[in-house]
Amino acid sequence: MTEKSQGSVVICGLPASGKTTFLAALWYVVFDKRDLNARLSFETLTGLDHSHLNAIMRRWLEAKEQIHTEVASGKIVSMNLKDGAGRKVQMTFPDLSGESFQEMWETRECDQKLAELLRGCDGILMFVNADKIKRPIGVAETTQYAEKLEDDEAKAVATEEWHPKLAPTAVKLVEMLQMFRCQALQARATRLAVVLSAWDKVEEENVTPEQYLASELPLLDQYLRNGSDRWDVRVYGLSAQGGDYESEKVKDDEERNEKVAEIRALDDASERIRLFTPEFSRDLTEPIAWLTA
Amino acid sequence: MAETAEVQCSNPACKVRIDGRCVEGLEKSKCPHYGKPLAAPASAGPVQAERNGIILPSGDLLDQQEASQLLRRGNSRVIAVVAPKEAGKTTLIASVFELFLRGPIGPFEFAGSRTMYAFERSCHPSRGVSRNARPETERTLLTTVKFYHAVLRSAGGDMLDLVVADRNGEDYRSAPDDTDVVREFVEIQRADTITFLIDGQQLADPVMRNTVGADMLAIAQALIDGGGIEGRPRVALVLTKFDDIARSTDADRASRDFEKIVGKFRTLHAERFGEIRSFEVAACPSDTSLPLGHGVADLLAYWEETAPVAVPKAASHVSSTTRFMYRLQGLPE
Repeated sequence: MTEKSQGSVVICGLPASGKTTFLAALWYVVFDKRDLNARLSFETLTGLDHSHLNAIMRRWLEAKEQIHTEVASGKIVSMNLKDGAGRKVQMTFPDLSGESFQEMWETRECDQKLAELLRGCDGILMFVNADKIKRPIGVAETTQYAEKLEDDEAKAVATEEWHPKLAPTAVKLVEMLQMFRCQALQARATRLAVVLSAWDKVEEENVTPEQYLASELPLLDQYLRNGSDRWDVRVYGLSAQGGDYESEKVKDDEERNEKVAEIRALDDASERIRLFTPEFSRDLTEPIAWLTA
Repeated sequence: MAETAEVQCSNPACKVRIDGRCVEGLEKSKCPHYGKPLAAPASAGPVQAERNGIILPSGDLLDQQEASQLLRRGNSRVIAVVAPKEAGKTTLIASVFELFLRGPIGPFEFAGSRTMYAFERSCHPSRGVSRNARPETERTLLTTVKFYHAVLRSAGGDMLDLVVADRNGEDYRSAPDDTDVVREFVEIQRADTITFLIDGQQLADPVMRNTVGADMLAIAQALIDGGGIEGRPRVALVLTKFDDIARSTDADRASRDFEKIVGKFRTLHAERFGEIRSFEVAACPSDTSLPLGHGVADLLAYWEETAPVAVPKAASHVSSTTRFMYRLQGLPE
């Protein structure tokens, strides 16, 4: 009898970075699709509660946006998987709200449960929405832009007090990773997979995920390459949906609705998935297999 | 009574509950610690229950002890930035971080920072998101010296801890009036490079141009006479807000004035310092005629250069804080 080992990957990222969508698509690839070529494959449902995974997978299959994960409703999900050599592994992932990670930057506090997961995990999967990267813009650039607009209203606005939530994306992400290494958390994992989600929005720029990271998040790129916190990094581009999904908030966007219909009409739902390693793949278990190898 | 009971601050050093004043001199609404429970478990008491999570590093400015711990871990440079208030001190320091957000600075790459929260707060007035009409200089309101930190790495090189001191400009301004205050300027005593700022905006001003250089030279004299200069540190004389000079109709005269100030500094103090070099910097120009951080890369390269070994000479008085710094660094007291 093959003994089952335990694996744990912490999925982190700021709000709306695609964490839940990834889990939904991963569960589809593993459980529904049963892709025989995947690095990790389904073993059994026995002994685990799959209600959350099944619920988010259903929304993914229906091409409906995932419901925002509230801080208090964060779930820890597990899958019984096996690798190419037949070794069984029970893989655990937290599906936590992005606010849990944002709060680490803003309030300098970490949820106890998250801290335990970080200390015990084998690898870290960090999601960054490639289409929603907030870069720093100087006053001079903003003023020049406003002058071009010749918009008096744009020029005459009240000044805004500083709040940590205003920080650029790269600052929040670098600090998040530094915090994982701090004395209070001491995350032991060394492997870090940076997943640039919503890759379909930037794919036409024809750059590799590494190049995109270096160009859009230079601070994070420098921090990771210079290795002061000993991260072993891989950068992925991922489109786990294939485009925008049906949204409760945006109902009258005809172009979007047409795109959603196209996605639903695909013969095989796995065709929505585009992973770049940088080579093209549809195997969402690849980053998990690497993180836990 | 009820109001007093609600006052709290997560900074153990702050006595805002007692005297109503923020230890960092900030307005309560701007202080990141005000209103939060005390971080130290020993005195947290019932307040601790309000924070159920694990307390993470503040990311704020380092105090002397925290800076000393960093200096012990290896390759480092301590930079003192000396200027009267509103000369662009904090803007200059923050511009290093602002530039790293856009990419490497010359040969240097960003490898980490213990003070990202403080850097972000200092960068805010120069960002479009602040909605300021022009980049503002955030005044340093600290009641004591604090330190910014960044880890730098150049290709094939070792990590370097860059520790840059920030102190209220009023402290430096008061030194020529009473040199006794210099004894507490631990950052000057420990500095590998002392960076004196000359406010370019004031140098281009017909009324203020005659006092800018005089003020800076008086401070330098006070630092020497007050026993603040240990060994032979290097000096950077930095003309800040160079964009204001570039736009000025008196740009040539301002440049000549700066050269005169540099010349006078060399004449008076060349023997007291290892090297004296001048720089023109526009850390955060108010228009796009000069790039963000104009001149900062050259200054950073100078800060990084290896300083000659500075052996502290016997001083008539060495403060307890200075002895504490020496002990931590293994230097003779």
